Amino acid sequence: MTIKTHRLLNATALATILAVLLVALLTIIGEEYAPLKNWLKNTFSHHWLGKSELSIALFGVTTLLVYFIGKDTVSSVKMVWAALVATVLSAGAMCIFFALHLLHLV
Amino acid sequence: MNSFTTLMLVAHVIFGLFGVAAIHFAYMQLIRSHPPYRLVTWSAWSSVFLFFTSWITGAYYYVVYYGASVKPVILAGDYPWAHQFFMEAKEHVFILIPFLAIVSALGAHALGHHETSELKRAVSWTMLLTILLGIGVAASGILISGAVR
Amino acid sequence: MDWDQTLTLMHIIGTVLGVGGATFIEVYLINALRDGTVSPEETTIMQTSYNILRIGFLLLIISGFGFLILGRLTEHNQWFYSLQFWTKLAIVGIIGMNAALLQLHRMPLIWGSAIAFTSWYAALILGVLRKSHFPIYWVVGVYLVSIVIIYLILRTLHRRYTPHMPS
Repeated sequence: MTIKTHRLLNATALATILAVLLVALLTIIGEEYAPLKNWLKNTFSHHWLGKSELSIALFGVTTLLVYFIGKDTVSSVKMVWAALVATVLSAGAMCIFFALHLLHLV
Repeated sequence: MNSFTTLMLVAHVIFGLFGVAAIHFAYMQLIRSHPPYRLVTWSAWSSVFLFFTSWITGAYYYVVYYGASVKPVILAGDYPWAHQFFMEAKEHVFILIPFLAIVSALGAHALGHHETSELKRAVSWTMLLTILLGIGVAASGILISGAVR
Repeated sequence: MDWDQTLTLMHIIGTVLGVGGATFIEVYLINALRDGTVSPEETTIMQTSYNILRIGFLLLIISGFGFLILGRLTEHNQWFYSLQFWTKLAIVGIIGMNAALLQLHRMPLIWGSAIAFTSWYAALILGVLRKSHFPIYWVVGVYLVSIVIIYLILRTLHRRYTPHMPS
């Protein structure tokens, strides 16, 4: 694997971890804390567009930063697994939250 | 629903479906003993493009039409949980898929340069998760559409 | 030809290619393994059959989603909540999962063949009988029993005709 490919893969994996966690946090906290959801609505015209645009922005900025100033010592394999685990946790947390919300438990 | 909104809904479903099909194809090629990496990478990048296109077209339908015209019908119908759980979960889980597809595509690209069994395993599981999330989102879409009556 | 007819035609072609492909793969597999080795010609025939089956699978999925879109747009969507429809969807999912497990060598060949063969025919039969309503446990029960019966038949055929085959 070339250094550039290795760096880019690590950068996007880390960016994915941050983006998916941001989506879960904005979603769950936004449902529980109305001012956050209102801020997303007022700023981006719709809360879902806010989550979409902020996650893309965070993904893009993180990828660029890590690619240009990151170190090459981290294993790509570990980073890809970490991205996968973060996605499972994010999706799982949101599904569990909405299931609990449906049952009026949160 | 006017014809442009209809077009956006149809495009959202078709691009999403083809996105899942493309990443599924990439996965099936990747798990072969001698994967054709150029084909795997090309197919995985196609899925990235298709997922982003599905995201944009779905955003139009969801923001412009769904909230005002579909959501109230579902909530007043026999299956309000189709919105309360499936739509809420679907619309947010969907956002995760394109990012995971990018990691899959870059992982396939990296494997094409230098194959290691550890990275192949990690990338194949990433692709499999992308497929499973895509199927989950599609199945939720069917339940949501069926609740509009 | 309207959308409904176009999609029906696609769905039928997809099913024909899928069921036909699954059937021919079993026949070719037993035939190819009779002498214990698979020749390049036999490999080509098998690959062609797999490609036909894949095209059938893709057509089936595309036309299936076409019906869903059409149902949503025409508000003819009551069948979206039919258990028989979800059983058919689950069987299509099993076909895809079984193919991946076979590719990964995590599924014994004869069990994988039995699952693929039965699932394709089950999808065909459920499609034909979509207007009849059977209890869901009955449908699932018949499907599972059929897999076991097909497995026993295939195992008998392989023992008889392909004694060299590694299990």
